[in-house]
Amino acid sequence: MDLQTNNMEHLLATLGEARQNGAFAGGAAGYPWQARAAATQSSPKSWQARLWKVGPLAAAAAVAVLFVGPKFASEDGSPIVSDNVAIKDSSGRPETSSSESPSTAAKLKGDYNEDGVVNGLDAQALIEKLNRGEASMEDAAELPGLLANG
Amino acid sequence: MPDRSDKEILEAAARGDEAAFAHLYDRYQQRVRLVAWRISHRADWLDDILNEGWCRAFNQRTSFDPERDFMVWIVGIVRNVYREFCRQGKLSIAGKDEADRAGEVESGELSPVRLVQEAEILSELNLCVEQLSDIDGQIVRLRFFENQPLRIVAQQVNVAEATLRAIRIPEVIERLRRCLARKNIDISDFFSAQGGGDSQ
Repeated sequence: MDLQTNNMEHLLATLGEARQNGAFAGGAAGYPWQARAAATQSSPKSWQARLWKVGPLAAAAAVAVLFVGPKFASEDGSPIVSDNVAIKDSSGRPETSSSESPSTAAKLKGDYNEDGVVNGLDAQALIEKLNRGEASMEDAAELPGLLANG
Repeated sequence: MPDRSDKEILEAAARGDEAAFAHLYDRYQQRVRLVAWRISHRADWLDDILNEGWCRAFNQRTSFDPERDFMVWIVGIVRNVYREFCRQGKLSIAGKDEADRAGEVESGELSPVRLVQEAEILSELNLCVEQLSDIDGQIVRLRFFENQPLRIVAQQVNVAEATLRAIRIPEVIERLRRCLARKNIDISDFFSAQGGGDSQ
């Protein structure tokens, strides 16, 4: 038996094995990367996975702001009054100036605990909102910048 | 995208064009599947290897050099996926055989270029077999695909065993060889990398 015949018989045997093992079967419907993306988006755990990534980031930002962020009190302990936020003498709680309504204060960007200021405490509130589906990943990404800007 | 040349499609895919990449998938997925089987010899791994390989290729498509051979590029990715499968948990299920095969791949005996060539030969041979007459196709199926004894094949196709051995089978093989030759495919060194060539 010559080499050509010998090789052809091997080729045919390999081809038969390939056919039996589905090597010539049609591919799955749709494109693999699209199927994977769809599966990832529909996964109930996908938002939790993102939360695991964003949560620590927000918490770290909160810690950073608490320790090295903008001061909310002067060196003598009295509150610093910003241009648009007034502090009540009695409670120390920030209060909107007379030119702003309470609803405007509640909508302050990054003020997730609605206390009228953007600080590290908003990180925890944001995490809770993410858990409840009331905030988005974009909000989480924005928070560190808002905290840094005071 | 029938109005775009191969080069344009490859360049578009390398720029990140998803439609162009999908076109490449449609064109090459059958051949890549065959290569994946040649690498793994595992029917139960095929879909997993291919899905992972194509997803990685899609994610890395902007790193593809359109001057290169697309098949060689994606076969390299698929081969890496197979290696990882062998090293990961599946190896413990698959056992030593797969470990040996992983070693074979890592030794470089089956390069992506070689795998692409073999897939090309097998694909074209498959087309040649499809073009055979019914009785010749049956002879090939029984004798070579199912490895039936000559006596059984002779009974099935209603030909004398001596005739089958001396005339019909050599004729079928010659037809297939000519079919491949018309496609400029030389099979003389097909099994050289695997120490093959001993069919008896």
